[in-house]
Amino acid sequence: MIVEQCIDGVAPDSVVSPASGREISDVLQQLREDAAWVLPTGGSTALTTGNAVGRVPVQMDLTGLAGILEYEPADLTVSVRAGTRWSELIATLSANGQTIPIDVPFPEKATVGGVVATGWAGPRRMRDGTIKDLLIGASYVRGDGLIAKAGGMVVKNVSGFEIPRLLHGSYGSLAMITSVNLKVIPSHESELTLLSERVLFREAVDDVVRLTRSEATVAAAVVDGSGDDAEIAIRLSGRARPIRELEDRIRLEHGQLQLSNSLEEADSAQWWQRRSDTLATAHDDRVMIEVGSTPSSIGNLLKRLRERLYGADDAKYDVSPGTGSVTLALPAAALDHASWQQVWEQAGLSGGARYVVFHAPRAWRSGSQVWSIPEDQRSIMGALKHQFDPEHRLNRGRLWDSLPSTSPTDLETMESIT
Amino acid sequence: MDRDAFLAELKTICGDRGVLHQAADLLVYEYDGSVDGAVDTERPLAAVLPTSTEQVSAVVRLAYRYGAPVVARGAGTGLSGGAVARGGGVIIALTRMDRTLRVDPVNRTALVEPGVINLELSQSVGPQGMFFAPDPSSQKACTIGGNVAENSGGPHCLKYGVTTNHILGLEVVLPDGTVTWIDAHGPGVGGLDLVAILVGSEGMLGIVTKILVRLMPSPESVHVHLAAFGTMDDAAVCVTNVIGAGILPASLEMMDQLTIKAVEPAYHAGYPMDAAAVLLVEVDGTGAEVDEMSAQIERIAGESGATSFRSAQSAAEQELLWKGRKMALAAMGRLAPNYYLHDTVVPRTRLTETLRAVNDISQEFRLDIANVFHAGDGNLHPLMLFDRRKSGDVERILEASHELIKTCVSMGGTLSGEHGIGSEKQGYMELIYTGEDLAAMAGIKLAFDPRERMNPEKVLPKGYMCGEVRALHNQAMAQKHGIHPM
Ligand SMILES: Cc1cc2nc3c(=O)[nH]c(=O)nc-3n(C[C@H](O)[C@H](O)[C@@H](O)COP(=O)(O)OP(=O)(O)OC[C@H]3O[C@@H](n4cnc5c(N)ncnc54)[C@H](O)[C@@H]3O)c2cc1C
Ligand SMILES: Cc1cc2nc3c(=O)[nH]c(=O)nc-3n(C[C@H](O)[C@H](O)[C@H](O)COP(=O)(O)OP(=O)(O)OC[C@H]3O[C@@H](n4cnc5c(N)ncnc54)[C@H](O)[C@@H]3O)c2cc1C
Repeated sequence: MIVEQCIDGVAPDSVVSPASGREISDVLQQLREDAAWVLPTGGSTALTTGNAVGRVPVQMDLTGLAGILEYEPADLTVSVRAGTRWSELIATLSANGQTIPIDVPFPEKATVGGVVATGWAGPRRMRDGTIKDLLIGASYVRGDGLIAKAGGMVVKNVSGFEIPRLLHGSYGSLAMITSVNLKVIPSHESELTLLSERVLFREAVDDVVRLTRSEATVAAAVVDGSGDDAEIAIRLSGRARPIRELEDRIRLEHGQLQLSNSLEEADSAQWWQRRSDTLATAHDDRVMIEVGSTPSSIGNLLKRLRERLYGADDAKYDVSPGTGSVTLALPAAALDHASWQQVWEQAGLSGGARYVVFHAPRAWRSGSQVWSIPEDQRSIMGALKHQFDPEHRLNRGRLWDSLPSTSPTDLETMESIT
Repeated sequence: MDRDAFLAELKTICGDRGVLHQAADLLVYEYDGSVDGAVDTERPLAAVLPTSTEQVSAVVRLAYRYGAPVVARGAGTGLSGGAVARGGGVIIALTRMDRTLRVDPVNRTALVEPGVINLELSQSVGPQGMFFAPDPSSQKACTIGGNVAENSGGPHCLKYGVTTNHILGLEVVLPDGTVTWIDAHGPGVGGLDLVAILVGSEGMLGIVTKILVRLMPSPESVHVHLAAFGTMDDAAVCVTNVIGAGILPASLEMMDQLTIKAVEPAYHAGYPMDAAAVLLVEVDGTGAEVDEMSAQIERIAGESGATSFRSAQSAAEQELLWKGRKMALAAMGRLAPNYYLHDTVVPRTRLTETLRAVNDISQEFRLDIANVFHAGDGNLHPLMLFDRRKSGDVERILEASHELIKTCVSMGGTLSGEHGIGSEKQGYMELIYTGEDLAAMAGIKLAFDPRERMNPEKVLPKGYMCGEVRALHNQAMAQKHGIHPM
């Protein structure tokens, strides 16, 4: 299918499928001669985040780097190649009563490397953290072709700089991850999701913040709304008996949440998977932005966003109050990039809050600064980019459009040799 | 360098009382907590005691101008020589920057200065139902800035994770004196996760001047158990079985016979004197959760051959059981005048084998080695006991240490789980990393500190210091541009 091969609607000039770190490095050497650059891809489920990359000379398909390298269930650690599909990793772990607590969208397609490279976590981060917390090692090939690793297969390690965690969320702009080592956790014995009736949006968010502050063992809590209405979902997971007790307590003490429905076990897990898939589905004509702040300011932030975007039909807000996150989705026609910048500034959102543009039409993400990276952090990020990928062979433009293309270090280096 | 002019300028920044430069005043700044012999001591040029970020930044800029290296220092409890100024730089001691600036109980965060003492933070937020999870055994003395720089751990990191999991943002003074706030990845935060690379960077990339920490809600219920075993093997098997059964205790600590012998007479914690090893297990969570876990652990301990199993019945008894563990290092003085504390990590399934190998090393080198460690994480702390005054003891310890580290690495382990590399284990880095791995790490240093002014000559072994790597890099760049250095 041709559509499958398109990146942002444009087919790459060529596709390479390396099977090892060495092959990746060789391809990079080759590119150096051709002055071309590569877009590393895993399952290609998250390629519309951040700046549009334009026409891609070489797509580097990493799904050939597949398979579990080492898995010792009693150690609760696994080493897996980056191109392994998320579902395959989870299936292997579940067969041993273990898991990694993130609901990755489209797990049959998404890859382990892609999950680490995007560093997205979802509502379960509130209690169970993110994949960054579980990352104990990585092998990678830098943009300049250097093949290296850091970390190990032990759960505590302070031997040298934490490069694996730096690669987390770097969107393939520093290095190609070839394998990762992860801590895994025991699967929960039981899970349960409590769902509300249709409730009032604004109040629901405040109520859920209160719930997550008083009940620290709630696994995830979301309020998904549009217009004035919303639905609440509360996820409980862990040992069977404590969960039931928690359920009773929530029903008793948080009656205003109107949690009249519930889903058990597999049905509960499926509900969250579906929510994840829906959230991560890119629609050509819609914009999806995640805004992050803190649980205490999320209600206010949402209020201001909704006031500013009032009248934008069909705007949806998926809120995870306990993590301080709102993902808003609305038609691109209702919000172009310039208006978003205005909303951001006028609503005074920039103080402490940040955003990531998950999806938007290509034009929306072209030419302008799409990431909300504070000015004073950019030069050091640029200096790191320069060390890993001095010639910008990786993911050109994705994360780095607005960053200096040569770092001060580079200037110094050039001075010293000329 | 004009030393007097430099000192005079330092005094204009930090005041007369904020600058130490007499030999006698500098004595304490020549050391940290590490073993003399494993780590070289060195007299710094001066030590300054700034009280604000602005002062730190001004000192860093000034030192940059004079070409003097700077080395950050917290409480100096580090165990790998991190806070010792190589090449005689300026020590920037952050102990006077010890204010808690903000506690936010709703978002469960606190903004602190780097000199805040670890335990004092947990104590001050305790009444609000929160605690700071990383709890190094040195927590009564060590600073949060030091914890960040070393990515420190502690007994409760089994469940809660190490320091890096609890840092949300940092204010940093970069090697050129620039002050920057950096964020850890979180919702809406894009770009590179600079906090991830700063934490654990041993003061080589920037000086941390403010820290936004995550606080954890205090658990509803806590149980503490003590299981005793007739052999070390049984105790190690019990650890593997508890972890393998999918139970995640808050902490799971092991102490061997030698440790019990040191601790029990000193603190009367209630450890059976005839046991070959004890496990101290803490579980926390909701009441129902804790009851279930405790029952499961008692059963597994029995199946693993525990000779006794005791559960603390009161908070006071819990504290007493913990006292033995927390005071274990202090109690070692009863056995020998000196000890060398190691910090390797092995995969948890290799614990039994590794402990046997440690025992072999103890026999081979005729050394007493006590083991008191974070068993649940596979993080070993073999304590080699010795007497510095006896000739040959220090040499024997260093040889045995070499053997120990090599053994742990051969078990699939690593050099350090929480104390860092510093100058102590620099020479061992090539045991676990290739030249490329180390060149990539040097690249990180180069990005932040191209002139190598901040805590130089640490972590990276000789040959991977920036100068050399930079020369390689220069050559590559030069060739690319068709320039060939003369
Ligand atoms: C509810 C939910 C919603 C999400 N929504 C989004 C979203 O809107 N946008 C988003 O970005 N993520 C999102 N994620 C995360 C994302 O879906 C996952 O991280 C994962 O699916 C991406 O995997 P992939 O293999 O398809 O990556 P791809 O789409 O192939 O690649 C994603 C990025 O990672 C880079 N990359 C991929 N593999 C490697 C590698 N081995 N080494 C280095 N770089 C690599 C690519 O260059 C690209 O920049 C979401 C996650 C959840 C739970
Ligand atoms: C008895 C004892 C028990 C210990 N137990 C444990 C334990 O259980 N777990 C554990 O992890 N460690 C333990 N340690 C080691 C030590 O306490 C920790 O590494 C601690 O975090 C060091 O803090 P400090 O304030 O003493 O730092 P220092 O020793 O002063 O400095 C350590 C390093 O951090 C750097 N540094 C300090 N402050 C800053 C700053 N503000 N910005 C940038 N860099 C900075 C220094 O340059 C140096 O490289 C123990 C030490 C002792 C003596």
